[in-house]
Amino acid sequence: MELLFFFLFATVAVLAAVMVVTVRNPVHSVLALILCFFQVACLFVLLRSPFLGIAQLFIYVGAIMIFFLFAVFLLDIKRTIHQERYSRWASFALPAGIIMLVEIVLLLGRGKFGAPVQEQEAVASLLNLGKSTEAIGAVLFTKYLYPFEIISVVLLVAFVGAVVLTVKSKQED
Amino acid sequence: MIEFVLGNALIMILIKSFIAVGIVFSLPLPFTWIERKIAGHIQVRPGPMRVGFHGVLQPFADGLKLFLKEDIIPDGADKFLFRVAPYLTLIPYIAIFVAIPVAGNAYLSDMNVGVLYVLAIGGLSIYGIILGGWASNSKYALLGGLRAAAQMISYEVAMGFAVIGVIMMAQSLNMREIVEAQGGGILSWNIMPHKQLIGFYIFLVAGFAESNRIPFDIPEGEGELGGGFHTEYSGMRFSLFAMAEYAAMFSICAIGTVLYLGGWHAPHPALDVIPGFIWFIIKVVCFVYIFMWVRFSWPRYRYDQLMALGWKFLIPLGVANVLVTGLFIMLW
Repeated sequence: MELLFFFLFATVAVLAAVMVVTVRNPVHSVLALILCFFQVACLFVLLRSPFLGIAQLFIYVGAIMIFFLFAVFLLDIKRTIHQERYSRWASFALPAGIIMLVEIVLLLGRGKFGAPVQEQEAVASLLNLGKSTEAIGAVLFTKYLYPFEIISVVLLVAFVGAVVLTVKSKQED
Repeated sequence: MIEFVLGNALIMILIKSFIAVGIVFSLPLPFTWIERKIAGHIQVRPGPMRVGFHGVLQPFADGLKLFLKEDIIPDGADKFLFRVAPYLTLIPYIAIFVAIPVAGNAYLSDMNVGVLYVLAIGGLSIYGIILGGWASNSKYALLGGLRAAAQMISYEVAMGFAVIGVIMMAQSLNMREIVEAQGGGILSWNIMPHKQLIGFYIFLVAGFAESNRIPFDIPEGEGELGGGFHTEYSGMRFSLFAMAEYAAMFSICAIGTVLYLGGWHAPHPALDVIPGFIWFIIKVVCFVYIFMWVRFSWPRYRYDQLMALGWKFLIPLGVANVLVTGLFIMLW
């Protein structure tokens, strides 16, 4: 039963990801990306981590993709559809893709793929926590406090940067 | 037979889905009648009177009318998205009812992250509105869709901050545990001033905005946008949007009841002889009445006023509420 759901979610996720880059209409490709994120959220739930699944749903599907759609709506879609499909960036993207593929195959082959599961389990049992939400909170604010704070500063810089950029371009107009 | 049904996970999932779908699809029948009656009496007129006793059969007549209308798809519309959008708006609300506990032992699913699930899934319904607006190939509909997107993002943040206060009081994300933390009479409910009254206020205002109802129904804005995102819709697809609005209102009321009004608990422990689900229904109905009362008492906000209220007032108030709640929990 669980395996069935895993293959369902995984297949749809991969198909949606392929559609993101093959579909002509940008709105459809954003929709395919939303579908892909949704399936990934389902996979998190299957991995007994409902908090991560819901967070994925909340942040990526619920907020970030709405901004994506917002931006795509303001494009001239009819022109984008008839654009040449292989832009000059393809010559850069192709080698980068090949390198990533080789890296993934190498990592998979050496069995080093994925998160260090044992370590996480050790942390959870050390803190004696059953629920995934509490475990994530405790680990985030003790063991990984420093990276957590760094990320919040980076995000703050991005916020301020966005405001600064828009204000500047308005003055130039 | 019964053991087989209860033991088979797939059949149980199907039964639960049917219950959730049934709730959502039967809502508009009483709601449209009550809403039009309340509108009528607030404006000193009787409301629908002709079909049945005091117009109780009016929803059936309206439903039949919408069902028989032609389903028009505008020229140049994105046909697939235009057809799918109304369902995308409705389905998330069906999914919400899975997580709402009606009584101590009456729920479809008991999730550890119930509150987050409800908020996250409720936010997804906006895709139907945005895509319906875009796929119509009409500038009014597109503007309505864009407004809906901006409004949803702004008020979902405020609502999240309001709910954090409740989560801190209950020390849990589980809807059932949140209700149980409010047991023991009306003074333990989160709506009380010494609990989460400010949070409830933010939740209520954000709830009006998320269900796209007056005073925040600018995505429809029939005055300036001629109907907004559903300008081009007709017949059953239009009624699916209307159904989604009622489902949104009902789900906000049910979530508010769980989070702030003590769920299935009676106002006084002595009244616990009346079963919990009846208390739950009474509270939700009162909550729904407030929504309808507001609709016919307030004018619509202007777009910039709506954004200013969300970002400059509700979100700072929500952050302050979280900090004060945390301080009191530390000191107690």
